[in-house]
Amino acid sequence: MIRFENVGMRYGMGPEVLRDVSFELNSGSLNFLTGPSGAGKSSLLRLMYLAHRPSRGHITMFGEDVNVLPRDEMPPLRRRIGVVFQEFRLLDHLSALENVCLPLRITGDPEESYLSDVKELLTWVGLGQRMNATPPTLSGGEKQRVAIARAVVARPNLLLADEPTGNVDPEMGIKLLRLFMELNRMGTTIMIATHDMSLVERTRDAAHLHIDHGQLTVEREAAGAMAGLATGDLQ
Amino acid sequence: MRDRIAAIWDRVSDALPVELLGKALRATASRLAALQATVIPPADGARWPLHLVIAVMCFLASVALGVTLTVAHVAEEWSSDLVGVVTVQVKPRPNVEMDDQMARALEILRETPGIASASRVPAATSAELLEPWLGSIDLPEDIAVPQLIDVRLDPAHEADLEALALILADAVPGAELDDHFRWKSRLTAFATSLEGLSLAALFLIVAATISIVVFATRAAMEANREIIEVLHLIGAKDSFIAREFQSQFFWVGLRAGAIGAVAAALVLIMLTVFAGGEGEFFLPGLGVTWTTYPSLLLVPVLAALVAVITARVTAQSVLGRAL
Repeated sequence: MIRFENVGMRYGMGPEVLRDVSFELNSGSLNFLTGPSGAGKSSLLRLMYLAHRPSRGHITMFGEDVNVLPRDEMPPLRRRIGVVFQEFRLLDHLSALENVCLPLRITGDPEESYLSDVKELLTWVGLGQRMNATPPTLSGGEKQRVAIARAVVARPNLLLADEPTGNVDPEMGIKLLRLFMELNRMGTTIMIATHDMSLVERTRDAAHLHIDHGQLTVEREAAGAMAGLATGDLQ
Repeated sequence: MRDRIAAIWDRVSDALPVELLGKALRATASRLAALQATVIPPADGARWPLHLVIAVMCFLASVALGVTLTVAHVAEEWSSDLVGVVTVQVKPRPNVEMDDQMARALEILRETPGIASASRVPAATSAELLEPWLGSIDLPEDIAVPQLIDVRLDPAHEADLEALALILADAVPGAELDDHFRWKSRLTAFATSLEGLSLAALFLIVAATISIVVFATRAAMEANREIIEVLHLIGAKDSFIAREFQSQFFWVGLRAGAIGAVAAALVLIMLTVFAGGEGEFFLPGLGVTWTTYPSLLLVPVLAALVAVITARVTAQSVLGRAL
């Protein structure tokens, strides 16, 4: 589904932040990307959500060669990818509901065709009462859930989450992890970048990629397409 | 007194569907707000200065348009008034009776082919023509005043005016034929120059408006760079993002254009009232004709169109440089 082959990346004329990165994500897998701050996790995710092109190497996503993909063919590919940004990147002047509607609104579908689904999703993530609140009035956990809802509302094939539990308390972290597990169970391929090793330890069967100084190592291969939480972790 | 006012208000409320009107107004306002709602927020700080600048441009464009149309209309009116008309002026000569001169001139004119009619301009009318220079005083009878003959040409038969001028000058001492050609050609040249000037001003105003919108679109895109990136990353096409900006600038153009056009209409009305009028003596009225005002409605529409096209092209060009 996603294949990186000897990928290198640099910002402008700066030093390489990623070096010879090679890995493959299988469809429907749950994957963790760990590493210390500044190791290159976010840069790797930027390549995966097509915010940047690699300086060298090859990236294949959904059968498309990203290196040579024309600009006007990027949007359909990006719509297959949901992203939970580390800093949420919600639009402050829009309500939670409008933020979550965005990925559907850009497709040009009429609002009536998706509004009830979006409300149902917001209720599912526990924001049924906060739909009309704008991001500046939401707590960190609420913003995180709005960001997750926006990332999954268009049913992407791939969900990328950058430090999704970085701004929430441990209890909320577990709840969010449950949410990702649920989405994974529904068939979405998930990549979670985190420096919180406890999250990785709580899951079994998930793949574990580790990055340090721009170099990636596969610590654990995914055991199966679906992953599950270790017994007792949800109590 | 208060009860009486309340009773009158009740009667008015019953007669007019006030609540219904209020609802309709609120619904229209809500629909308008929905139409103007965009994913990208309008830049609050630059909103009114931008409206002001474009309104000023539209004001100038409306005035230029009003002047162009008025000059074209007036020039046409002046020319059409002078078509098919010539004037013979007979100046007094010593030892020659004015009445004899006039009779001879009229005789020649009536015998010339291509002349439909020739009639002596009454002394009272001649006196009126002299009034602006001499004042409203009774002239002494012994002061010799040139006399005029109003000549109408027959459109079916072309008269040889050059030959007629020579014959008149030869046969009637002091007679001169004025075919108004010099006056008409100067008038046409003046009108053409003024129209050209107004059109040049219009062209410059449109160019300035385009530059302003290009600058404002770029500034708005820079201010919303973060939002644009998020939209790109969730899969928005350039056309969707460009549409957001063009929608904002459409409303700016329409609103500012309407303000500018209304202000210009008020100024033109004031000019017509205070400096125009029906015209005096041989100068026709210089006021803006009423038929000019409907054309000012075009200004907000054109402003919106210019703003939309410019914003679209600018946004597409800026977005094309992103990944």
